[in-house]
Amino acid sequence: MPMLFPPDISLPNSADALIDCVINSGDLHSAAAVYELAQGEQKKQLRDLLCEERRNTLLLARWEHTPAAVLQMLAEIDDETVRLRLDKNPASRAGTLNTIYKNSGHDRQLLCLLTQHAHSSSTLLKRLAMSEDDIPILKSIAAHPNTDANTLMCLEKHYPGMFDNELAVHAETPTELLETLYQRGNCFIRSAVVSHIRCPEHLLDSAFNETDTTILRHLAANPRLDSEKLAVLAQHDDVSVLRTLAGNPSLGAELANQMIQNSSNSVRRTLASRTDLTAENLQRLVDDDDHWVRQWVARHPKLPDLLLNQLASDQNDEVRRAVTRNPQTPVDILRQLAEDSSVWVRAGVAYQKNTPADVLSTLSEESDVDVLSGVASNPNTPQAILIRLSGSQQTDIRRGVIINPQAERDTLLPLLEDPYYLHRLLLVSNPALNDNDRWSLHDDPDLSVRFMVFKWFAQKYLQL
Amino acid sequence: MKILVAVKEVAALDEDFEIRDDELDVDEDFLLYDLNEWDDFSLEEAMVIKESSDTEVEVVVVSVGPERVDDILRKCLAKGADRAIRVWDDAMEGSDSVTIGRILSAVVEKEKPDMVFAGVQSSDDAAGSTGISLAASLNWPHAAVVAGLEYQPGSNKAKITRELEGGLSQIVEIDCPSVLTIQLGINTPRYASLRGIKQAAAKPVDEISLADLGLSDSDVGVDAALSRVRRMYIPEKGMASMIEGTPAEQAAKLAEIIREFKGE
Repeated sequence: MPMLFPPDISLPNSADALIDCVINSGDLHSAAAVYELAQGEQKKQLRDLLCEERRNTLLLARWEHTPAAVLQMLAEIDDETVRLRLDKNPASRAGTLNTIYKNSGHDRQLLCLLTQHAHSSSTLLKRLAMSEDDIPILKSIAAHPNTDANTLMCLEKHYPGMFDNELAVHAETPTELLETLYQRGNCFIRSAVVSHIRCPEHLLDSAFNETDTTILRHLAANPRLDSEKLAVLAQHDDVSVLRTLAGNPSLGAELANQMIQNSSNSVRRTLASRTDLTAENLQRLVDDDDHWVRQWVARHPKLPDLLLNQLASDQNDEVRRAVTRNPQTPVDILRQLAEDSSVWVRAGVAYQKNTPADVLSTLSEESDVDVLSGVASNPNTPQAILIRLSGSQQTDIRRGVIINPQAERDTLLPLLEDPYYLHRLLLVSNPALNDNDRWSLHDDPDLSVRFMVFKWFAQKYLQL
Repeated sequence: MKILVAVKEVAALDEDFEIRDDELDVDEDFLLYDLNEWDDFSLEEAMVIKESSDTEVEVVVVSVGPERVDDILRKCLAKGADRAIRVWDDAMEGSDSVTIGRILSAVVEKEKPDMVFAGVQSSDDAAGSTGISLAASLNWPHAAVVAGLEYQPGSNKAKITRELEGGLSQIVEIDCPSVLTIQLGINTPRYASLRGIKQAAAKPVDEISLADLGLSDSDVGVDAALSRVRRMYIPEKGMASMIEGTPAEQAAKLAEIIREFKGE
């Protein structure tokens, strides 16, 4: 990589100086990072730099990190391929998409992509719905979450029955349209309507009398069901209905505790994560034959210490690992599990936020990468150990130190020269470092690191 | 002791791209260049031998291509290669893998390495023939798809493990010097250190011309090639239909299609 910046250039002391530094370097990605910050002549110079070669324009139009302001500028360029890339770029904002629409010349591919883009505005979608008659395009509009209720009604009016699948699941579909869909729909449409947040009460009543298990399964998930219906569904003999019911937050403690004896493992697994179980039933789940049930209950936030202790000696190491991941697990159990025969369990202890420093110090003497990564990322790990781990040959362990919120500046400084570019990129926004530390990465060989450095400083000036 | 590693700058395609007007290649604006993935493993294998050896081992990387190729050669220098050589002359444009093998063999005769490594194939052309063509030009022993290597610098034999189809491995003893084409996964390629990258930026890349290798225009390029690209195009896509509906409906339709295929 040729040197883009003069050696030892100091941190610019103003927004203008930062932009001048980029312009003088001619670095494409740094220019993209500061474009939004620039005004007047500097902005023009940056635009020239960004658009000098078509190859670069195409690259920026496609790059997912290209700032929205640059994408908006690129949308003004008369190049169909650039427009196509902008249309596919998830970072393109509503304004950019409006510009693409204005210049699209009714290109079907561009219009199709506009109707699928997450940032297309409801206004643009409405305009497309009014002006287009291409069914796949209209179908995408009916499925788009930004499409408003009026547009959905309009689609239904002009193409009745054509978009039932999309309308039945759309969050903005009005209640009266949901009723129509339920009346004319097959079991899948009716299931979708029953799951809809706006589904009227009387449709829930109708669905309750259905025999189709797909509809009943969707009904069982609805938190608006009253206790009477929930109780009847709890007697159903279909496992999928019962499993869905077990996860319904409105089920209530009484029914949940009744279902605990169900013979289906999947029903008991779902119940095991409920917070409204009695101590007696928690004990029953702790003694369950199915290790997945025990694994789920081991992470239960209200599990008494006695039961956590029992699970800490479970024969299945996934269950013991789940105990280490429970935020309520007491320190004495963590100490016991730190000496577990399974490395996977010991790694769980290393990651646990309640593990005390002396246990982490002991674990730091291990050689396993999972254990050491946990120690490296644990906020309770002493700084001296973090310094030692920052010199590890293992990428995952060094990354653990970088993401550790307690890692101090002196610990992190050597990692600014980490061979792995992603680590340097992560350090740019690390609050333990100062601006001069960040600036030391401005001439990084990796384009994404340089971009992140200049973006960080550009954001800082934009917020002033 | 010297190991020569042949590397290639490969072109990766963007998601959407355009074919050149002459229909012989993709428009260069849509290509992203990088070091061939296989060559990263070849270089690492040479570096492992260098670093574990008691005797001095020189690792030299060589590539055939225009000035742009210096970027990938510097990448190799940043990872620890001692020297980099780039061979180019405009007359080489259009050379096929056999011709490239011939050019590389002239470099080998000049450099006189004890071993030559190349990647099994390049990710853009995927011919898998450059390394083998090079061995044929030199009349050296060769082994392809090498997934394991035991070699002591200075030894006249190496033990290699070759990857075969069907999950089989084959252990082969090969006379040295030889040409080995290295398979992905034989090692874990390193990241270049920041210091290495900065130092590599200042290191020279030796440029070698046709005359330096004792070759002439007629030995290289499209006229000397044994194969020529006649046309590059995007084939018409086959018929496909989207399965519409809710996830449950889609699953039901998919099950119906599977039943139809099974003749139920």
